[in-house]
Amino acid sequence: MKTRLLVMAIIFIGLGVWSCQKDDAATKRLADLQAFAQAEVSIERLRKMDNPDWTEIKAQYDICSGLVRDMDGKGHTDYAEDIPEAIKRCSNNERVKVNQQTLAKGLQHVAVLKIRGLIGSMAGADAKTRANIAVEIGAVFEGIRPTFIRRDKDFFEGKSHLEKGADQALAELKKARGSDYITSASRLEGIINRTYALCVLYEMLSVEKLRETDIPACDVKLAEAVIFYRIIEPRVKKTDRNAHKDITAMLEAEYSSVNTKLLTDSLNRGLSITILSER
Amino acid sequence: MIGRPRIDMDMNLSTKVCFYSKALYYALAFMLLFVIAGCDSTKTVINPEIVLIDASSVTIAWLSDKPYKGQVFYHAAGKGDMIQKAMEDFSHSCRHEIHIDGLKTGTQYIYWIGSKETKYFFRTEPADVKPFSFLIGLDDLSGCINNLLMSEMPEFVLLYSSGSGTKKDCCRSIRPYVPVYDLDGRLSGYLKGEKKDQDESWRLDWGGMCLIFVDKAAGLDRYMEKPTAHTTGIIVREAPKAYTEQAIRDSALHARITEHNKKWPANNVAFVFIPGPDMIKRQIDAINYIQMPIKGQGKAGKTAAIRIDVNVESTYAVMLDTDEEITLKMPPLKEKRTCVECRRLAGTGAYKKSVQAYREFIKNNQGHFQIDDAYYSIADILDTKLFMFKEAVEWYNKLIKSYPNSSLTPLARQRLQYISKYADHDYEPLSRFEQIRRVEYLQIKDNSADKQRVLDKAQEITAQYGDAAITPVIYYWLANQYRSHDVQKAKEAYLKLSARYPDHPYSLGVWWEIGEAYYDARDYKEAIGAFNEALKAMPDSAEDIRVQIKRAKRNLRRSYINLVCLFIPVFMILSGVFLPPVGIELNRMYQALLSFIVLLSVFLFASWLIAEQFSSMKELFKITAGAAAAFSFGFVFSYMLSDKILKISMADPEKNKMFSAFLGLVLNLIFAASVSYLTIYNTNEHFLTIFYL
Repeated sequence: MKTRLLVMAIIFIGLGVWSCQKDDAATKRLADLQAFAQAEVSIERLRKMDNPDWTEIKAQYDICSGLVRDMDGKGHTDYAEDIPEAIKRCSNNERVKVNQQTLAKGLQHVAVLKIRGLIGSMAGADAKTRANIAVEIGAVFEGIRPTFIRRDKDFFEGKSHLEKGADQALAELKKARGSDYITSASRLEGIINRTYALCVLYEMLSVEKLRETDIPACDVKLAEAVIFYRIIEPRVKKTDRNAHKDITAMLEAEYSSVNTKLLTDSLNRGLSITILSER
Repeated sequence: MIGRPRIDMDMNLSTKVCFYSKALYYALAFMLLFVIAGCDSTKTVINPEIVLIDASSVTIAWLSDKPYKGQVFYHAAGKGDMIQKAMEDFSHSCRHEIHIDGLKTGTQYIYWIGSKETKYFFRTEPADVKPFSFLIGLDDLSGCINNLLMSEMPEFVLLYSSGSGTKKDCCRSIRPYVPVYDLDGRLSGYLKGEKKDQDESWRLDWGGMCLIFVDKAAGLDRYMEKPTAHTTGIIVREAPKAYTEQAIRDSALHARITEHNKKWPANNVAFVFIPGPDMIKRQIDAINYIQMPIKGQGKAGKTAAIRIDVNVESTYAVMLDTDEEITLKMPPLKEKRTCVECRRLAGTGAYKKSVQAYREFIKNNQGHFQIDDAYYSIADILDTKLFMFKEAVEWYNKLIKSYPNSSLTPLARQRLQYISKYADHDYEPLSRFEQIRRVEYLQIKDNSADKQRVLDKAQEITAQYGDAAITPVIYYWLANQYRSHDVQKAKEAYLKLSARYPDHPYSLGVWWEIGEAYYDARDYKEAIGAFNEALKAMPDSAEDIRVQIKRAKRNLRRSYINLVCLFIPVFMILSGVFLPPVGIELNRMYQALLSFIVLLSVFLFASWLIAEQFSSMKELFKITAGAAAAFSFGFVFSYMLSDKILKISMADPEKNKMFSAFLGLVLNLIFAASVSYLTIYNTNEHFLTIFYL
């Protein structure tokens, strides 16, 4: 009897320790993602200062570097090399405005890749794990939220179409019970794609405006547009190859050939939506 | 002082009647809302599935553990369209099937069955010219099918297996989103009775693609006559005796396809999937043969799923595990014939440079390549981008003369036919008009001064070239543009068109157009007048025009009722307050305010249960607040008015207390009905159809 009780006690203790460890791992993962998002927002704030403190930025990047390396492996990107290199060049005052785009927009790309990865991991998960993953997605989203707010301001007079849409999709994702999570996950992906399509358009609109007067500024805008497009490229390529060809051709062409009306049309075709729609 | 107790008695009775009347109102309001709500939220939904789908309709089926009458709510994704509802035709059942039609082509719809918490989506079949993707599953996809649905966004899934309906369903979780097929047809538990014989050939048409599923060459005949699809593929289900190139070349199937491709070069068979032990691609006589291992019969190798990207000019198969890409249909503009750089330039808007590049390409590659598409591209750029019609005509003619069998020749002929109709005045009016219509007008955003300037420019063309063939088209275009902001000018333009060019086809329907313009501008009186004129001019369309007249009359009637409904509460409030004794009873106002708050909360809750019936939360709030106000504040004024009427007209109110209460109730009914009508009419008049108004 005593032996049985002892065995039962050991089993219960073991199960307790195992489940606590499982929760601990989830908590740690969430904390890491929150730290990533916070660091991303800090880097964005620091780099926009008059005299950026590149040492501090490097310190903040170190918080993100683990996830960046992880995503490089999964997303076939090279940010783990490119971003430190860009920070180094910026601290040496080499084409600061262009190089810092690799840092800022690269981190956004990493965040989106992570969100996509987390959505992917929902497939085989149970309802509780899915809810936890949705919380993690929400944490990563905080890092890219400022972009959504800016594009709402630029294209929809500050009415938070994009931000609100993403928040609604996240809320639905947390509540999803069965395979209906696909709907909210697709909606979230759709809003992310649309926001970054608007980012591409915004930068190219600036190129169109500045090409007669300020070529260096156009270089910066183009660098931003290229990384933003990298974020939505897989979707555009799958939806309409011709749209993808048109967009890449325009990103590679001379500034005089930039035509944002054609670009908008290509982005609409590439994402199968109207990116400038009020809804 | 003597009459005081009597007044209190009257008041008590009146208050009682008031209380019972209110209770009756609330009960009625509740009943109304719950009747509209229709169903409760506890209904189960088991195995929802897209059973059938095409360009404009979808059939959704599901099961439930208890019988009920199913309904589906749906709206176009991200377009802010109103939520619509479709209901089952049959009575209560545990097996549900709803058919929805009138959907837009190639559009994603969000839908839910009962509970709003569980939403799904589907996409209608795209238009023929639009690109799309579908997925071929070569292995058990149950572990990854959800992710494949999200990452690849296929329009449908084809399981490369036969008779797998009895096996484990690896696509269960995606069935509410996309249709699933296997080699024998639509793979659905709901269509088991309709399943085809396994040896029967069949055809799957999707967008501009046609897939033919056969066992032997003989099965092809019934599906290959008069082809219309831009991409045709054949999926052979029966394994061949040998897998060598020679065996394929000698097969009856290959002979039949070659014969077809000779006869229909513009609609040729681009690829053939044949079952085989390994995945191998062979190109024989410009037909791509792909050996595909049937699920459970061969080795899929590394590849478990293939995405097929279908486009008008090219089709690719992408092995999702290895990212390897196989071309199933050659893109004519890339692989054999044309200049990538020229296309790149055109894609970026550098049209003149692009034309120059095409000319050089033709010059350098004459005799080496088929360059019909280069001819066509130059003509197309000159025609639709640069509006240099004279030169465009030359290039179209060159194409027709040099490449009479090219698939682009019919298109060139079509454009030539259009341009030649308006070739007078050396293409000048056509060129100026196309520049305005396709470029200048589209570039204007919301600046009405700019818009007017551009429209004036078009007007100038009509003044300058009154006899040009394009002028009636310009009048018609002008009228259509004015419709959105200046109906009077639109009418003038339509009438000018009709007066100056009475025989032009556009002139026939001008009164109908004018009627529509007034209708859109909500000027229904004028619209009815114009529609009546249209009836005289177009007796063949009398039925449709009468429908519009009926709608305009209904809307006119609604606007009159709106005025009456506005007058009634204003009159009752004013007379209730200003008839002697002048004033308002504050106690009743407090009671009304309290009942408004309670009623609003109840109405909001009830409306929330049927929130999908409203197009926005704002609309929901407006209607519920209006209804709550109508039912609560109406009592104050109607009973004040009835008391005062009684006091003014009756010598002895004691004898007429029942009459007072009855009058108050009637007045209150009128007040509530008026305010409710006002609220609905000014929020979303579409809801008035519920009340047959």
